[in-house]
Amino acid sequence: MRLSDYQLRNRLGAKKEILYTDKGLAETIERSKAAFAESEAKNDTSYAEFLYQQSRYIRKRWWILQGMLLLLIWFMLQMTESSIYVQRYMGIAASLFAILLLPELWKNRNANALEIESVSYYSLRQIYSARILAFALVDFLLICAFTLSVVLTGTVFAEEMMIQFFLPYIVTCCICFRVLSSNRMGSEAFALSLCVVFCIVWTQIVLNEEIYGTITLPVWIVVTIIAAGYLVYCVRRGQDNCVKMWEVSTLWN
Amino acid sequence: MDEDFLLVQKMRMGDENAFDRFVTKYYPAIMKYCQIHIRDYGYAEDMTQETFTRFFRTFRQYKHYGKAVNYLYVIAANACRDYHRKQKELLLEDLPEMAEQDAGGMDEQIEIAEALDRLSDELREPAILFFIQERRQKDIAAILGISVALVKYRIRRARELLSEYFTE
Repeated sequence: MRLSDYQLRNRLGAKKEILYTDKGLAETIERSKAAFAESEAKNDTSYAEFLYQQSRYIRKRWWILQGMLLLLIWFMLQMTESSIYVQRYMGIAASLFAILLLPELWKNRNANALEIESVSYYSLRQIYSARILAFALVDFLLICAFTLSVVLTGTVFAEEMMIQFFLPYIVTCCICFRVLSSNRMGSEAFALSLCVVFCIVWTQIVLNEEIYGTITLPVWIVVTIIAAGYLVYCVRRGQDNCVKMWEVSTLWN
Repeated sequence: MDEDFLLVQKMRMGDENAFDRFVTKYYPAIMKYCQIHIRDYGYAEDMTQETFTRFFRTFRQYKHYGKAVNYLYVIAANACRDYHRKQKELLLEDLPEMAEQDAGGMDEQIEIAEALDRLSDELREPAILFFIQERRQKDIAAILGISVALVKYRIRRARELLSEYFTE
């Protein structure tokens, strides 16, 4: 005769009360905590390791696209023998270079991953600082390589590079980070729209000789420094607000 | 998002209450599993403690894909295997300590041990997890690292043999 699963479970003592003492349980809890503390003490991650760990969560396709974009501008500059219009259109490419950051910056916000990360071992501030730093380091290397290749070959002058590439790039980054850290208007589409508006305004300025010609180099330098300062402020604000952003977004869920 | 996931993340942050909750939640099941395998209360308690200690020693590398308890069963199985390797198979005569604690359940313990001893090694483990620990077949497959189809087959075979034993 074949017994049912229920009968077999009864015969094998599945329903029987489990024998254990509270002392044994308490001791196990203490030993577990001690084992964890011991392993944590042994495996204290250095900042470089932490940065590397976080960079693994960034999708590499954006870096590849950014690299391809710079390569495209480089070829265009070489082929058109440093046409003044190509140089001035670099602003659009610089904005696009920054816009490629958008999906990665918004990834966690769109996926509501803040909720998960807020209970992780590291604080949100540490995580986002590391990811932004990882992105910034790679972008810095890409831009350095591009700048050196166009400036040293004499294709573009250093001041033109600053005005035509760095300034629009920094302004676009300011827009992205400012919108990202905003609680009320923090959508990716809104940031993208603002970037497009900026591109249009920027193109109008650089292609209009009357306006472009009247702005002298010191003015461009001052504007670039102000924009860079504002970018630092926006990134810091984003870092400070990440917990607040999470609290706001959980209200909606 | 399952409760274990949040518990695991909180423990990573060093939340002491999360440790208490996690160990309290799974301690009875692992203790029972070790008792079945080791058949000695004192050593089973040691192996249960060893299971949790091993889990937390490698906690940093632990990736929460499914159920934490499945991983605990894998560690417990290894701990029990290590114990047996050192002590060799315990014979039925080696149950006095249990008898001291629960003399009334002695016959039942012997009967369970005999029933399980009738099964081959490969049938015993799925049988313990399914009939005693009441794990789902899918979880057993994950714990033992075999296919669900093979788990089903082994449980069916174990069911037949155990039925034969209990109806003899």
